[in-house]
Amino acid sequence: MYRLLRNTHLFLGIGAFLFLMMYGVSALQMAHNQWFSMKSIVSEIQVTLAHGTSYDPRAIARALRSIGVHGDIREVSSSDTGCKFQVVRHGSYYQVVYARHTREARVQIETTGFMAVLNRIHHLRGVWHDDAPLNAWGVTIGIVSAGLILGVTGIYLWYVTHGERTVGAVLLAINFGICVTLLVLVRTA
Amino acid sequence: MHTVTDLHQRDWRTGAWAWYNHFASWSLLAMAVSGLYLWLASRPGYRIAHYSLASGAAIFILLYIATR
Repeated sequence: MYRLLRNTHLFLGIGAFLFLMMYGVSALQMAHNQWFSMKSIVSEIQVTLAHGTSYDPRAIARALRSIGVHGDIREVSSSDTGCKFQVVRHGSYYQVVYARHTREARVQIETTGFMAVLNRIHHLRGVWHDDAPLNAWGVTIGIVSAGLILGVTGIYLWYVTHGERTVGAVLLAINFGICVTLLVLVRTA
Repeated sequence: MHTVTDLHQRDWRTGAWAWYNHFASWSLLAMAVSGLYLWLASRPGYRIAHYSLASGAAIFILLYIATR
């Protein structure tokens, strides 16, 4: 049993290493925003879409994939003269303004750096995205979350190490006490 | 509760919770890094761990590139 759980702990923990680092580093970024540069680069391009492109914003977004515009489609608004929408994915934000009569799409592109991307991945969830890679992230994050079984195996592995049982029990009790006390205090704040 | 990390809270109780969240964030990083160290220090030749690290890293990097 010990051997099986030790191997499971090692296997899951090592496999999830970069994901755990992503959560830890992005949590620090959110707590200490000033430690990291979150500057973005803004540019703009203009594209004329092909004849026959549907006037549906989703069809326009699909046509813009050829220039690297892909992600979740948001904030769609239409009028007789055209439409506006946003395409958003980790670290990239596109504001699209499409003019119907000229078939021209003006795309404002905002791209951010590594830390901002980690921040967005930290917040990503679900498989309802318009973009397949974002859904793949959602599935992977779900699997890593299920790997939280790691915590339980860690507790077991500590418990069966007799020499460290006392100090571990003391630390666990202190941590539990602090956590519950703070929760009660915050609840009554 | 999950997002309370600003240490300059008006209420000391919320501030204490922010410190606790900070502690948890640093602990998460420490656990990940020390876990890697413990593997390398105890069983560096364990092949399954190599495969696990390689596949986990590959998935992360590929997804990062695909969505960048």
